[in-house]
Amino acid sequence: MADVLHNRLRERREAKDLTQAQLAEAIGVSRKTVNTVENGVFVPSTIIALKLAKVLGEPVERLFWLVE
Amino acid sequence: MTEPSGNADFADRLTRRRARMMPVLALFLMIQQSAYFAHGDGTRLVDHIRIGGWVAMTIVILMVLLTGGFWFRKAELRAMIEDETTRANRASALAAGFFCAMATAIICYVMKSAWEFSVGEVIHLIVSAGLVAALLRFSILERRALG
Repeated sequence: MADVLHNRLRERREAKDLTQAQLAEAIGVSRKTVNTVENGVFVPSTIIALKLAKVLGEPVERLFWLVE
Repeated sequence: MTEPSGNADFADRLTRRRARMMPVLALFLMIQQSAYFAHGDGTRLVDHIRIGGWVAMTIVILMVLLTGGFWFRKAELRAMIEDETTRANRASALAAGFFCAMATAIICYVMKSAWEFSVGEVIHLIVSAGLVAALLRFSILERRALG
C-alpha cells in the first residue's frame, strides 16, 4: 500500500495569519504549490518541506507525518 | 505578516492564464489539422504557407509544453511559475502526450490496409494526438491545482 503523507500546514499557516499567497511568496513557490500540499494532492520535496517548516517556525516532522 | 504578495499573485494569474490558453491552442491545432485533411499537401503557394504555419505552430506548442513559456518574464517570476507542482504536472502531461502519440501510431499501423492515409497525414495525426493530449492534460492538472 502506498504511504500517505498528512500535514497540518493549513492549521499552522492560519495560526500565523498568513494567506496561501503570502506563504508561497515567503518560500519562493506559487500559491498553487501551497494549495496542493495543504490538500494532500502533491507531496513536496524535502527542500520545500524544510522551507515551509522554517517559515512556519515548526519542526518539519510536526508539519508532515506518515500514516502508520 | 499581512503585506501584499506581489510575485505570488502575479505568478498565479499567469499560471491561470496559461491553463486557460492551452485548450484554445489545442482547438487551433485541431482546426489546422482538419484544414490539412480537407486540402492535402498541395503545391500552391497558399498550401506551403498553410503547412509552414502548422509547422511553426507545432514547434511553438512543443516549446511551451517543454519549457512552460513566459520566456520574456523575469527569472524570479519564471522560477515561481515553474515550481515543483508545475514540473510534476508537466511530466504527467508529457507522458499522456507520448502515450497518445504512440497509440495513434500503432492504430495507424494496424489499420493501414483499411485506411488510405498518406505518410503526411499519418505524421499529422501522430503529432496532433500527442500535442493535444499533452495540452489538455496539462491544462486540467494546472486548473485543478489552482483550486
